[in-house]
Amino acid sequence: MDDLNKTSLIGVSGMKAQSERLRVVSENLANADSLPTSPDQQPYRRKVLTFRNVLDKQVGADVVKIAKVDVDRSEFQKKFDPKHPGADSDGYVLTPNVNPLIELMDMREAQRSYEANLNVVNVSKTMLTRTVDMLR
Amino acid sequence: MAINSIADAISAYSNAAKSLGTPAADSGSDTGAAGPSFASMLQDGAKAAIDSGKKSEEMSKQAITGKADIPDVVAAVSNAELTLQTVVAVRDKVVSAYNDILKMSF
Repeated sequence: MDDLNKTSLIGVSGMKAQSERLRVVSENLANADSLPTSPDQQPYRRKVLTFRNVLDKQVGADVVKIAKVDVDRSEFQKKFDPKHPGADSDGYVLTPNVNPLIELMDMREAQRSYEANLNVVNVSKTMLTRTVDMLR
Repeated sequence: MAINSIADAISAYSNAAKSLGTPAADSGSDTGAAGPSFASMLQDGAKAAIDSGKKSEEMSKQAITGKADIPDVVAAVSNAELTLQTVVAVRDKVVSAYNDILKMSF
């Protein structure tokens, strides 16, 4: 396979990984207010994902894949709300360990990485097209 | 004088063609047997273009039914487009070379 073709396939794998990352970010953001409905339940736990380099036999180079979508094991926050059905005897409700600011930064990072990979694909395509255009 | 030199040139040219005639024909048949013919080269190129075209259509079909990722579809379609462009460019180039040779006056 042509090196420039390989380049675009690797770039595409990066784009796919970043879109999955954005999906996890959107899950976290959307569930930032998912509270328990009874005192013995737990709120939404933030998800994190890890990337991994995988040797693609067909491409003959390392592409990026999602290794695992794991959960963030940090502590839940507490909010005083005695009227909530999920409140304990002291009137506190456990809230998800999601910080929207962190999620927004993660979203921006996923966007920038996606664009970087998109540029790689675009450049390799332009180089190939211009090489073929030499025949015209 | 001028007519003479033109006639001389033509006779020299035909002599050269005659002397080259037999070995040229031999070497021509040799290379024809050893290397791939123009037809088979075009056939291979067309096959590659058709294959990548089929792959891109398959990906497009999966994308419509929501089974494939958009980046994969875009990569397959642009790859098919580029393969077809390459085959067409090579064909045009070789055909124009053939035409140029055809237009030569012996």
